[in-house]
Amino acid sequence: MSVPAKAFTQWLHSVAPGTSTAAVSRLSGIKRSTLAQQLVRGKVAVVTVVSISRAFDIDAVAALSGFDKYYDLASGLLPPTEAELVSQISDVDLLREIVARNAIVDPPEPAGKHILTPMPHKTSVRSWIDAIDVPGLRHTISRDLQMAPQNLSAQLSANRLAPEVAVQVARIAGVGLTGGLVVTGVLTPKEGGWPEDARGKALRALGDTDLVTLAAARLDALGKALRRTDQDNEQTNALWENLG
Amino acid sequence: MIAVLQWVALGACLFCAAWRVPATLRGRNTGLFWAFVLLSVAVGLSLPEIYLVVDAGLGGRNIANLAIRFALYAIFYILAVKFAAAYRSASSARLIRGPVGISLLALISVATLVLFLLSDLPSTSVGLQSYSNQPSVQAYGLLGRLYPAYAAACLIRPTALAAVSAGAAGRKTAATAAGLICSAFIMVLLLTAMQIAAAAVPLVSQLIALLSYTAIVCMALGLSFTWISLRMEQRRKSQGARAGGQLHGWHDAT
Repeated sequence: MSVPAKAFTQWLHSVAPGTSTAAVSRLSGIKRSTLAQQLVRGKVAVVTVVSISRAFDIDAVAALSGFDKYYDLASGLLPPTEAELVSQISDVDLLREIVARNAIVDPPEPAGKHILTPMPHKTSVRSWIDAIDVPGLRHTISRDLQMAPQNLSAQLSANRLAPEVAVQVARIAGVGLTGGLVVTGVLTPKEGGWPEDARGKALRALGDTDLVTLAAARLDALGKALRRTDQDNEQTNALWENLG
Repeated sequence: MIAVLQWVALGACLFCAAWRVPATLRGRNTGLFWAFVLLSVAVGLSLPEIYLVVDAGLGGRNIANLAIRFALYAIFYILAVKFAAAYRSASSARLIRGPVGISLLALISVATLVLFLLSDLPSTSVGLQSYSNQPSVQAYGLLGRLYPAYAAACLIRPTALAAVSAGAAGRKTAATAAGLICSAFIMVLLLTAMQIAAAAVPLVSQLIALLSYTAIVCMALGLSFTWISLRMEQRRKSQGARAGGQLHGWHDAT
């Protein structure tokens, strides 16, 4: 979730000696009050470290590796697997690829040529977890981080994953440790060591069967989510009609 | 302790009734306003300071006590109908508004009136305490608990399910609201069981009073939270409508 304020202050002193907190927040685009609050509470958000690293042109992964919780981040850097890459292609991009591959004459755009939607997509976290799934992953996470399973699934439903959980998940699954930070949007793909157009290459390499099966699964999940929203809205309407 | 709780409950009921005034003037769910007015009357009349004055005005023959009973029947009927519809439980709605529920309410109302007339209650007494040795007064007291307990029993399941599903959907205010309402109904059921089992024990009767007024406070709080959550929902929706078109629904869902 965060790094200790004390370690953060030491780090900040080493990267930007003599720079005031006000100047740091101005350069990195973090609200002054936000930064002050994080320092007072003793917990500085990972995104704060990343924003400051960007502002001072430092490698964000290396910067994070300086903190105890993320000591192995830089050494655990691995290129993303094909499954991870494919998981980060949005639903619409998958469908466009299907349409492009099946257009017989006058394709609207040739297969594998269109520019993919920038990461992360709307269900990037759950798709990533599904892609790197190892048996008992969720159970292991909740045990390792003493986190209730429903807490984890609530985060996944909201397409969120706390940085420390994201890194721990990658450790357990044995994939590149920055993957979780990339799919949650904390790091850009470039910062996380994901090669440029790796997703496009993975998509082009994906066979028709796998592509269609994946798209079908994504649409199924989307349908379920939409149905849940509908039911929620119906319940709210009933409450409003009778008690509002 | 109980006296304090009674005044708190009265305050909460009056507050909720006042909150409903603007909506009632617009003709929205007027039943809720009346339920809280009646609840304020019932709680007010259980305070000796108010009961003695009002009953003296009504002839000093404890008609005010009868008024409390009928106010409670009306409150539970109104709230049960509203909650069954609001939490979309067709079976609860059938049990309350169907032939079983209506005949039960009619039967209990008639029996309450008959037992009241059969009892010998010559002078005013808060909670009919001076007459608690009369069998008809004991039966009258017990009967007064039956309809509220029936209505509460019908609504525990739908409100509990609503609390769980709102919690799972991450709507904390709505979940708290349904949870408070559900716990109020559980308390009503619990105190009726206590009344049947051992109302004569002084400690138990104190506990019953404690549960009654806590349940009223929970109900008022639960409805307040419901109104707050509905307002939050409306605000969220109107912001969502401004933010984007049809695809916005997809964003929310995923």
